[in-house]
Amino acid sequence: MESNEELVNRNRLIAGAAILTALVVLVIFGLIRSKSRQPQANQRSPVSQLAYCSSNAVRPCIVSFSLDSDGNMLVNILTPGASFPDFYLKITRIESSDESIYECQKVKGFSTSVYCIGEKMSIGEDLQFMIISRKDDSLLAEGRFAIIGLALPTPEFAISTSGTEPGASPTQGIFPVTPTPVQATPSPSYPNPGYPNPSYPKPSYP
Amino acid sequence: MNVLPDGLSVLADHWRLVSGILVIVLLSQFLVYSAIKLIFGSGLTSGEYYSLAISGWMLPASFLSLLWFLWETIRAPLFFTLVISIIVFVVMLFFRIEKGVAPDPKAVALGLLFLFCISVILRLAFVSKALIPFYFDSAQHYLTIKNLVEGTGASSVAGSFKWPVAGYYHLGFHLVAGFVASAMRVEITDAMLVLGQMILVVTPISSFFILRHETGSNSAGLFVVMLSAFGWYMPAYAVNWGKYPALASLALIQFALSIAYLSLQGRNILSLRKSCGVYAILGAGILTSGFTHSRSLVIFGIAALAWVGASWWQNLPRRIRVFIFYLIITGIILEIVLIQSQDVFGPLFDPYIQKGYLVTAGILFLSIFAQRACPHLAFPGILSIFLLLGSLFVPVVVPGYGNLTLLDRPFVEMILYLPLSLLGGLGLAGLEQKLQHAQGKLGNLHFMWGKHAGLLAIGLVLINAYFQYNLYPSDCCAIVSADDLVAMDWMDKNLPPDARILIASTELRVLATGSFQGYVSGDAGAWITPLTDRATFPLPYDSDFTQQNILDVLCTMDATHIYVGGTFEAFDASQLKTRPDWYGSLLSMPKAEIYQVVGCN
Repeated sequence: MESNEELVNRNRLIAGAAILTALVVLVIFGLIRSKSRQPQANQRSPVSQLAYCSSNAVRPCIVSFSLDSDGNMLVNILTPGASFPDFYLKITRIESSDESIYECQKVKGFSTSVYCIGEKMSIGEDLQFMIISRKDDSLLAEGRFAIIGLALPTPEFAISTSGTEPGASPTQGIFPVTPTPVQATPSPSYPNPGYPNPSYPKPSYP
Repeated sequence: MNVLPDGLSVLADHWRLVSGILVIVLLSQFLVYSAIKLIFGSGLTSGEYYSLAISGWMLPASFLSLLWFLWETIRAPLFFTLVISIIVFVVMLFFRIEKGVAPDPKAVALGLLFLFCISVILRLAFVSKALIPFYFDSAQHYLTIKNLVEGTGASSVAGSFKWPVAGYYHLGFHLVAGFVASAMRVEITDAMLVLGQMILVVTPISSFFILRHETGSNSAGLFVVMLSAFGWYMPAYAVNWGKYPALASLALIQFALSIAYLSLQGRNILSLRKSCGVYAILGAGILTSGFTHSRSLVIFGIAALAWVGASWWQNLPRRIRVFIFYLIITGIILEIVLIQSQDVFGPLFDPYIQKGYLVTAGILFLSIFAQRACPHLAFPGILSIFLLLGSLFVPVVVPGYGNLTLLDRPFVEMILYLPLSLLGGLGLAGLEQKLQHAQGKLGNLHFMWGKHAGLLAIGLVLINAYFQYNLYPSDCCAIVSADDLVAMDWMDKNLPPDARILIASTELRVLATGSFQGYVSGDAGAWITPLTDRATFPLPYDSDFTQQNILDVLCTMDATHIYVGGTFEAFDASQLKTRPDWYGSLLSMPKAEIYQVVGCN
C-alpha cells in the first residue's frame, strides 16, 4: 500500500515529466517545422505560387507596387519568415520577353518584410514574376499576373541626403494656427504619453 | 479552423524565443513555488501550488531581468555574484522543500498544465497575423525596451548608471522583454509579441488559486480560469492596444492578493518566521506589481478597502446589512448609467454587455449563489466592482502629469473581468453545494447535477468562446501596414539623420473630465522615431495642408519631411499633392507616403 506522500511524490513526478515532455515536444516540433519549411537553396522542392497577398495567402506574396522619386519601382513582398533565403526578383514581360532584375533587401528588424527596387513596369501589362535564390539561382516562387495598381509620386523632386534640409528661420512669420499641438522634439523622440501609461484607443471593439 | 496550424506555424518560426520564455516562466514558477512551499508545506493542493506559483512568475523574472540590466550596464562583479547566488539558492531549495502537498485529485494540476500547453499554441496564432505590436502604445514600449537593450551594450563606464527613460516610467515588462530579446538574440518586436501572448497564457491560470482554496471546488477554480481566458474578449484584447505593462501586472495583482489572503488566513497559525516570509513575499509582489504597472497599486487599495468594508459589513445587524447591500447594488447601477451617458467612457462595457452579454448574464445568475454561499468573498467582489467604476471619477493630481483620475477607462475595462469571474466561480461553488444538499430531498438526479454543474458551466463557456472569441488581432489597432515598414526602412536608409518629420496625431481623452491628455499618433508615424531614430513632431491629422498658415508652422518648426500613413487618422495626401511647390513627394506607396517640405526656401 502506497503512503500518501509516495503518491503525492509520484504525482509531482508525473507533472514534472509532463512539463518536460511538453516542452521537449514543442522544441522538437519547432525545430522540425522550421527545418522543413526552410527552402534549401539546392533542394528541389515544389515552387510556390506567387500572387498578391490576401488574408489567407501563402507566403511569399506581393503586398504592393510603388514608385520612388527617382522613378524606380518598389515591389513590397511578404516572406514566410527569417528562414526564407535571400533572393532577388526577376520580372519578365510576356510579350517582349524582356527581363528585369530587382535587387531585394529585408526591412531592418522585420524578417518577413522585403522590398525589391528596379525598373518601372506598366500597369495592366502581362508579367511573369520569379523569386530567385541569391545563393544558387534556384527558383523559389513564381507567378504570372499584371500590376493592378501603382502608387505614383509627383515626379520632380530628388532626395537630398546631404543633411542640408530646407529650414525656416525661427523668426519667419507668425504662428498663425492656434492652438496647435506642435511640439518639436530636439532629439529623436516620441510624443510624450500620459501617466502612467501611454493610454489607449478610441475605437474599442469593432 | 486555422488557429492550431497558425499557432504551430508561429511556434516553428519562433521556437527558440517561445522555448526561452517558457524556461524563464518555469524557472520563475519553481522559485516562487519553493518559497511558498517552505512556508505552507502540505497546506495547499498541487493545483493551488501550481496556480499560485505561476501567477508570481513575473516576480523572479523581473528581478533576474533587473540583475541582467544592472550587470550589463554597470558590469560590477557584485551582480554576477548575485546571479550565481540565485542559481545556488534554487538548487538548495529543490533539496530542502518538503515533498508532500494536500490530498487532491492529480488530474487538476495536470489539467492546468494541459491548459497551459494548449493555450500556448492558441495564443501564438495571434502572432501569425501581426507584423508589429499594435497601436501607438507599443511604439512607446518598443522605444523604452530599445533604450534598455542599447543602454546595456553602450555603457562603457564601470559603475555608471543611467535611467533608460526620461522621467518615471514603470519598467517591469520592458525589463523582462529586453532581457528576453537580448538573451534569445531576437528582434524586440518579436519579443514583445510573443511575450505578450505568453502573459495571456499565464494570467487566467492565476485565478484558480483563490477560488479553489476558498471553496474547495476544483471545478469552480477551473471555471474561473476558463472565464478569465475565454469568457469575455477582455483582458486578452488589450494586446491590440499594446497594453503590455497592464497585462503583465494582472497575474501579479492576483498573486499579491492571494498571498495577502493566505497571510490573513494564517495569521494565528503560522510561526513568526513564516509570517515574516509571507509578508516579505507580499511586499515583493506589491512592489513588483507597481514596478510593472503603477496603477496596479490603486487596485491593491481598492481590494483592501473592499475587504475592510466587507468585514465591517458582515458584523452589522442583518437589516442594515441588507440595506447596505442594496445601496451598493444601486450605486453600481447608477455608475453604469453615468458611465454610459459619457462618450469618453462609451466602450467600457462593450466586452461585458454588447459582446459578452450571455456570459455576464450567467455571472449575474451565479452571483446570487455566490452571495449566499460565500458572502465574505462575494461582497468584497461586488464592492470592488463599485469601487473600480467609481475610481473613474476620483480626481488625483500627479506632479508632472496634471489632473488625472485614479483609474482610466481602458484599465477598468480590462480588469473588470477579474471580480466578475471570481463572482462566477464563487457562484458555481455555491450552486454545486446547493444541488448536493438537495440530494437527500430530491434524489440521485439532482446529486448528479450537483456533481456535473461545473463541467456544464465550463462547457458552456467554451461553446460560447468557440462562436464568439477571436484569437486573432483586431482591425481596430493595426496602425502599421507592410507598406509602412518598407517606407520606414526606406527613410532609415535615405533620409539624413537630422531629418525632422511631421506625423499625424489625434487628441487623447480617456478621463471623466474629458480633459485633453496629449497628442498620440494616429498612424504608423508613431514608429518612426523608435525604428529610424529620426525626430518627429505631431500635428493634428486633419490639418489643412493647402493653407499657408500650416506651411508657416512647418517652416517655423524646421520640419523637413511629412509622413502620411494608411489609417483613417492620417494626413490627407491629396492636399499635399495639390501643392507640389510646397511639398515634394519622395516615396509613394498605396498605404504610406513620404513628402519633403520644399516650400520654406
